[in-house]
Amino acid sequence: MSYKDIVLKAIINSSEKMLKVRPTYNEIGDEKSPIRVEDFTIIMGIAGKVSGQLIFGFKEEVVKKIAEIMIEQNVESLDELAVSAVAEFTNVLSGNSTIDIVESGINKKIGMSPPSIVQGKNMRISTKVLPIEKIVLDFGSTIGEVVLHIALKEKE
Amino acid sequence: MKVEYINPFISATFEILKMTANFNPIKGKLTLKNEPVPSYGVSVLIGVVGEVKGQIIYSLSEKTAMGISSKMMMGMPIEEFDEMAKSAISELANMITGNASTQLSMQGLEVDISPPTLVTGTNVHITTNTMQTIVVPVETEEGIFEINIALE
Repeated sequence: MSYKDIVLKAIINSSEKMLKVRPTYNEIGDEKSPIRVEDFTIIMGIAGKVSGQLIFGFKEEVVKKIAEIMIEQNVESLDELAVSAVAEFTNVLSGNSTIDIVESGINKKIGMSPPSIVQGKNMRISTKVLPIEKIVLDFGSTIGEVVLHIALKEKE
Repeated sequence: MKVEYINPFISATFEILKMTANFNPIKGKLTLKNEPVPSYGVSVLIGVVGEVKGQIIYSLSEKTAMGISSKMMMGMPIEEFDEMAKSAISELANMITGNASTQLSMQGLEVDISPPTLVTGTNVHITTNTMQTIVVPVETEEGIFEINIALE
């Protein structure tokens, strides 16, 4: 399995556990830098034998929905609590992804940095890690879609 | 956040800016922020993992980024902030963070860093979960190069 397949599987399984909905997914394919990202994007840095980024993009409504499920209460605005709930969501997804990469036979430590929440308009992200694979996860009409970019490479 | 985490990034920035662009920068006043880090237009994020964890966010204006990347490429004129110029700025951030992480390792703190991500956009703000960020403005010949250190 490629790193992308390992990560995608880990993300589908762990997001199903947290949101109680199993997402369907659509692999859009390789993208070139600079990639367009959503106005609410979370970047997880991966370092070690396999390094790169996992980038999660959300529409504001989707952030609220995921936060509502995570904290089990109504979320009216993107306040600190809602943002940290979604950051925790991506943290668990990425943590499980790195565990599965290690268990796939890398046999070396991989580290993950805490989430960086990037908010703005017309955002573009560039990374030198190739390929950048774009996948859209669909959690159904009540939650919505999460746009995932996986950019991982093995250290030379 | 401990001060011994900060100094390696400052000395690495001075060393690498001197080496790659022949700059003699001046360090501005350090501040502590408890809120999202605004971007000057261009931000480079590098994740730090290991015994010290967090992010380093370098922030600069597009004009400064173009000026620095031109200097890094032997004065080659940069007309727009394209992927080549972005690549130069990402590499600059990578070299600074790599140099600082080597210094941290020499202090006995094993750390590794993720590859850089460069973010551009309008009204960009970056939130880290440490929420405490030390901001070091570095004044270069091409404008302010800001280092935001969020480590724990």
